[in-house]
Amino acid sequence: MEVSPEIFVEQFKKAGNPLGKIQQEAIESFKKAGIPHVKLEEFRHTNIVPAFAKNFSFEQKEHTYSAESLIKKLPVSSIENTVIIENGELSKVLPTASGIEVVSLNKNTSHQQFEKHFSKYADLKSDSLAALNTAMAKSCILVGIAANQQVEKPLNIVLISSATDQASFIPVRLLFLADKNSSTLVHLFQISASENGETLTSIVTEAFTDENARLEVEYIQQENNKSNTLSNTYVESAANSFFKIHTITLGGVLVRNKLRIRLNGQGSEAYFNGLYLPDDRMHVDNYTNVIHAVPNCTSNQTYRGVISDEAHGVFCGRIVVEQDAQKTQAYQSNKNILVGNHAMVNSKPQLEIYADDVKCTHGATTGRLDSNALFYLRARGINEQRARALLITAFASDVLQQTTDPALHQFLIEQITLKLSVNNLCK
Amino acid sequence: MMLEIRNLHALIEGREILKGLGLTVKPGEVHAIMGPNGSGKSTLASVIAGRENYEVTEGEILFNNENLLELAPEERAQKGIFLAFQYPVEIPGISNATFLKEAVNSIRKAKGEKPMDSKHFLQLMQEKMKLVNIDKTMTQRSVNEGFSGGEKKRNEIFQMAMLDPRLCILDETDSGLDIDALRIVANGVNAMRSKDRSFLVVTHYQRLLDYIVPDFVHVLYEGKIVKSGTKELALELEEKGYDWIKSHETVSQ
Repeated sequence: MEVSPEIFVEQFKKAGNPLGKIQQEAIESFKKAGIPHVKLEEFRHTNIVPAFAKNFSFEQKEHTYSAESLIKKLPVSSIENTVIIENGELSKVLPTASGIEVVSLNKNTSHQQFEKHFSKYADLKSDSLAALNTAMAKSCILVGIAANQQVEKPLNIVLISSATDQASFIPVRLLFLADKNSSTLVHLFQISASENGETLTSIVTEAFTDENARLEVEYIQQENNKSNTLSNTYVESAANSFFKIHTITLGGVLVRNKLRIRLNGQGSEAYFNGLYLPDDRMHVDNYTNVIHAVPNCTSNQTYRGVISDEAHGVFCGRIVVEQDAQKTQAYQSNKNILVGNHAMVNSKPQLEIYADDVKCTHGATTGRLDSNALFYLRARGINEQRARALLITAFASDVLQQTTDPALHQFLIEQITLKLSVNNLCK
Repeated sequence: MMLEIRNLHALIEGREILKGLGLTVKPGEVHAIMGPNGSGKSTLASVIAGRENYEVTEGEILFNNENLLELAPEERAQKGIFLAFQYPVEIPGISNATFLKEAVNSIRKAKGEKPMDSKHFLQLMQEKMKLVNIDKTMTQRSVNEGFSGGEKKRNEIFQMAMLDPRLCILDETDSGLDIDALRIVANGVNAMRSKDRSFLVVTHYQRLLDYIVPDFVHVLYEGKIVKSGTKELALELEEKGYDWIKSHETVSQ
């Protein structure tokens, strides 16, 4: 099937710029750059073009599922503090903790913070997927945490994507604003409404952490095996702020997570952790970009991959330390385990350091499960399949142990155990 | 008969290590296998436990009249074979307690028993921890990760006590142990001696056998048992050294 930006341009014309004139600029950028192809360095190992080769539906259809019953499967402890977003539209906001604002915005709503931050961090010129999302979004969902608010319970955001017999293109646009001295933990779940719906979700998330703010996001990707996700996250951090994200990829057929942070205030910290367990023919790409723009900031990235069957994992971690960013500390580690004989991984660190007084380390390994460890477990009576699953879970614990919420941690262990129990790990 | 090994030949990476070994162990007996470095002691231990990089080319191993060589390592463990490793493996990310619970319940499942619940498991652990001075923090740490040499060996004996095997193979359990740790390990082993449990104690030195007194001592040399006797043989070896066996062998050949 021919893949052309034209179907998006036509759809764009029908929509009438719900988010204002920025959308006009965005569609122009997208038209110019087109859909990224494998000849571009950033997409060398990830061909996203097939995800676009669909006869997309752009309309919201009446759906037949119950969001409530889908949510019951998630570690969402109560009906409080939960936000449901269906096919990119804010559909339900259950009572949230004080100091948290969740609103759906467009050009007709007046919101000072929105006008100040919307589309200020995503790079429409160089990122045609961010441009496409900006052009196609019908609304922007803003999650604001007021100054000095220390939110104890996690805020659950559930993204549900659905499709009927026709594939859906779903733009999701999020804006997180953590005001000064605030602290929040967000659980972002991405799930499919059914086993069969074929979707392409384009998510652009912009986040701004103001001075001394702390924002932690645990992003769980668990869509069905026909779903494609292109997630582009742009974070800007002010002085002494803290941003941490865990990206846990358990489902989908093609998932690409681009994650960029600009550490733009002294003393700010960024932690990117990721765990991906693709199987079958799934493809997962984590592309990170940490920009140290000012002195005395810290970044730390820990990514772990377990690649089964004929799946393909990609990690590309780019760290840029600008000339002024003295006393930078930047760390990166990516380790992968290949389970199937046809599993594949590409891991590429990319360091660009223009300051001279910095500490930067990176390391990448790819291998198979340790045969000595495997024999040790088996010699204690644990069968091979289970021994392999235990070793894989142990390997993943580098990332899992850093998750903050015990209920979520337990949920992830269960989901991973379930996933590993149905895979043949002994091939 | 608990263990019967007949004419065992085994290779690793194409090189023959065991060259027609025979050994018989009855329930309740403690057999020591001694021998110089490279004689095949650890190979024997590994082959009985089922390590896959060894290839058995000839002979058989019967365990309670069942052919062991057809069984996977886990099946051997489930039937009651335990190998205390010479080099216990570090497994970051799995706590000792979790690992043991998996092992205990895997063995119970294979026997058609119900899994042990957490309460009984904890009770069992507390009881067995005393045997080899294991404290609670050690059970919560990752398996062998960052353990000292002595802690690793004590942990092996602790696992052995938890799994309650019929045949315990101790592969150079004394290596790297100071005298205090050696005593603790030996006391743990001695506490487990019973009329229906047998031990195969593989060691280079006689020292361990002062503490774990064997019923029989065998000398392994160039892949075969060349001399068998009672515990006095170990003392004789200690006095005369392995060169005595080597020259003896040369003469007899």
